[in-house]
Amino acid sequence: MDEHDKQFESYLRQFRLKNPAPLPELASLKRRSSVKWVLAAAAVVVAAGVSMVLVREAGSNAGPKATVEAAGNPSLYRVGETIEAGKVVQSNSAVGLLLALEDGSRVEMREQSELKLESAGEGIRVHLNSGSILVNAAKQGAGHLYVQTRDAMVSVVGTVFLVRAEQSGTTVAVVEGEVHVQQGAELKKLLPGEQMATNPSIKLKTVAEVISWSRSSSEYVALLQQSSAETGPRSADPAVEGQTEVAPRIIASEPNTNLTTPLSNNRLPFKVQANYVRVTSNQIRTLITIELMNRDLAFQDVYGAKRGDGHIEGTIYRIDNSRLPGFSQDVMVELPSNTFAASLDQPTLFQESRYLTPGKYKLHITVEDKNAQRIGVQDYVLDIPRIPDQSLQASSMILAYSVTDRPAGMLAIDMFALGEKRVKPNASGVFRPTDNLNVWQEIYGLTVDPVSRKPSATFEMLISQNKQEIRKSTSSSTDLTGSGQQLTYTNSVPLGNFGQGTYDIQIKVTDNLAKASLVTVGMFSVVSPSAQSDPPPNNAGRQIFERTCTACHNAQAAMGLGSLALQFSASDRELLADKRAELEELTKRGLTSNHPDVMKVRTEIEALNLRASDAVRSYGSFVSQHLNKFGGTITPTEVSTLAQYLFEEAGKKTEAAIPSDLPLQRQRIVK
Amino acid sequence: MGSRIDRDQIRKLYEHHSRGLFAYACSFVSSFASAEDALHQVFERMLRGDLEIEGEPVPYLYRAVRNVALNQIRNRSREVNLEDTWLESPAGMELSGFELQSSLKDLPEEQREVIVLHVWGEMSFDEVAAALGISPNTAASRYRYGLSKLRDQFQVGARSKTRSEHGRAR
Repeated sequence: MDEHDKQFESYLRQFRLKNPAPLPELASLKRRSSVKWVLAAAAVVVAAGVSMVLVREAGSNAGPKATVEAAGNPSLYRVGETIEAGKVVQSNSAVGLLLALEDGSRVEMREQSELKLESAGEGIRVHLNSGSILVNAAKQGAGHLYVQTRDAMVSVVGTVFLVRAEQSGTTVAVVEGEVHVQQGAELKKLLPGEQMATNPSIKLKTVAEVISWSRSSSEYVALLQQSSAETGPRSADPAVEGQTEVAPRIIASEPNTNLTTPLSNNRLPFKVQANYVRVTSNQIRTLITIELMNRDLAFQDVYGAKRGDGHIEGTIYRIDNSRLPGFSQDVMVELPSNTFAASLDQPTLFQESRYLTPGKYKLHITVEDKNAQRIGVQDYVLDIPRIPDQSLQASSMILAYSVTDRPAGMLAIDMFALGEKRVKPNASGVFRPTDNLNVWQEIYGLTVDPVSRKPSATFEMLISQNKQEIRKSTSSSTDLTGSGQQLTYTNSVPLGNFGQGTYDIQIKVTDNLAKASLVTVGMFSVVSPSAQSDPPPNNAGRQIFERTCTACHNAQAAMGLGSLALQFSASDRELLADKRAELEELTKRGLTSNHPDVMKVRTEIEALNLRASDAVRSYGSFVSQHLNKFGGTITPTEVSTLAQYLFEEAGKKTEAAIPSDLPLQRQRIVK
Repeated sequence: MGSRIDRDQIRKLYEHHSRGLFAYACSFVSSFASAEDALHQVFERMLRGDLEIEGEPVPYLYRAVRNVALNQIRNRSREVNLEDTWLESPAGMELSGFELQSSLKDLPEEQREVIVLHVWGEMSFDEVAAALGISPNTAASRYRYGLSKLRDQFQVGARSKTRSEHGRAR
């Protein structure tokens, strides 16, 4: 072991292994994921007059979460909003709410209902305080789904059923599958079309009647008729069974049992860019620009104009996942009807600015088109630079659609206001030949001549393509506004005679007094208007991915996929390639297939292949689970194509977990 | 030849080997909670008498933890939480901690487990060898290969990350 290894080892030892919790005592041990045990315990505990509470073991993750899938208007909740465990969810007096649970189950709340999500062992418990819910339970894996009311507990395998909690008692009705209702010491089993009430004074209507409020009631009624046709009429008074073991019942995860909700496999595309401008060395104004293309929005006619409505929400997280104040605003795009068609190819920009201290942050942005019920979600890394005093420094170089003087009456904190200028950044970095390339940059810390009290600096802007100079322009500090501490550099270049392609741009500031220069580099591209659509997908797996996965491709999914890649990691792939080469080598040497060396390598290759196909299968189940959760549709054959595609993609070298489209910005000090 | 062992023996095994077993679980799963869960599950099963130990208890325990950890990866990979790391990073080095964990994942399993056990499980090569049922020399050489690979990867990773964090404009 050499010196470097020793050093590296002590570097590694700086990181400490976290301490696991001590082993719980034997008495407090709980068996997990055993339905038999759960029900037996329920019988005992409830009989003793205590409501059953399954506490999650220490060290487990936070509780279950739900996502709002559909909310009426007006509603307290927004589509896409995450509801944490323990939070009370109320549907208001006029409209219901549709929640998607983490396990893929859907909970449809009737108006005027109230519930709370809790974790229950390895499953999820929906605590229904009042009102009615219709649960479409996903096939349960390791966990279990429970609905708890004041006086009953319903446990689920994979079904559609209704629970109504009233002052007088609870009603449970089953549409599909089988549920178990625990009331006191009694355990009742309900089959499709059956229902029960905890209080005999509650008058039961037919199942079809009690679910009539659901937006999917017609589907459910059809399901009910189908199941009664299959099995014949059922007794209205189900047998009471004290110690029934629930046989896991597998229902088809095909979309026919899903609620009809707007499919979200059609995401709203948008671009984000962040630019950093110094306020003090430790406070950076971060401009977050969101760019939407008008043609991606849905418009409605309003008084001779076309109007698009949206909502933009941004959350900023620190590296430790704590949240900083984000932004949330309704936005409106109004286009005159007469020029509407031409405006569709124009972008619409929104900007937010935040003052942040240097460091890394995660920015999570959701953009919703209210008319089309479409959402786009993106995660960005904000890498906020430290811009120290007393040395030559610069803000981000902003490549903009327009840089104009700030109009009178526009405040310095208004959208797009940047010092004395109004800057509309081009978040995508893609310009058209009809555009001008506008450049804006602030330069800090130029040396001031002690006599004239003025800085002396030269600015050189160079645009090049493939290292070939295309355009160069030079100016000096006397042409610019500002003082030595802060100068604003702007430039504008018509792109009319620029061919299509990608260009490099570089701004070099030379402080003639301090004899130092600073170079900022960036990139932009020029395309013709017709060529601005996304590049065509190049294979079937990719097409399916684009159509389905990117719709819900959020950070959580990315992490899930990232961890799946572990099942057959890059080194496993290398190993497999090595072993295959080894086998070839051995065969070349003339060894027969029953030579021990050959057999050994064969077995190793087989084991690796087995793991690879396991990994592909995991991708498949991940994809179908995940899409189910987000209401997307995908056929079984597509699942396998997609799984294979994801598996192959994972084999290509892993990249940073969170995609970052921020423009290239490198700075270097030249002596 | 299966044999039941009593609670005191189990407690002793836990006292002596929980750290190593926990570190071992960490070399498979990426979250602290899953590693802890794997460790506890094995001991809970043993306490309940569900687990019959075959052969030497220590290597057996390591195999058991490994199986539970691998099952967890299979069953709940979608629950993995980026923030839930099993390494505690010194202040200001959180990113390096993430990078280190992800570089570790790229190592071959046999090298990774030796590194995790030796560095963070604080076990000697003899102990590592006994736990994994390999020879001390094998453990030491796997460690050496793994360490130099990790060093390369970690440094390469750290460099390419800085580059990619700047991103590029389309």
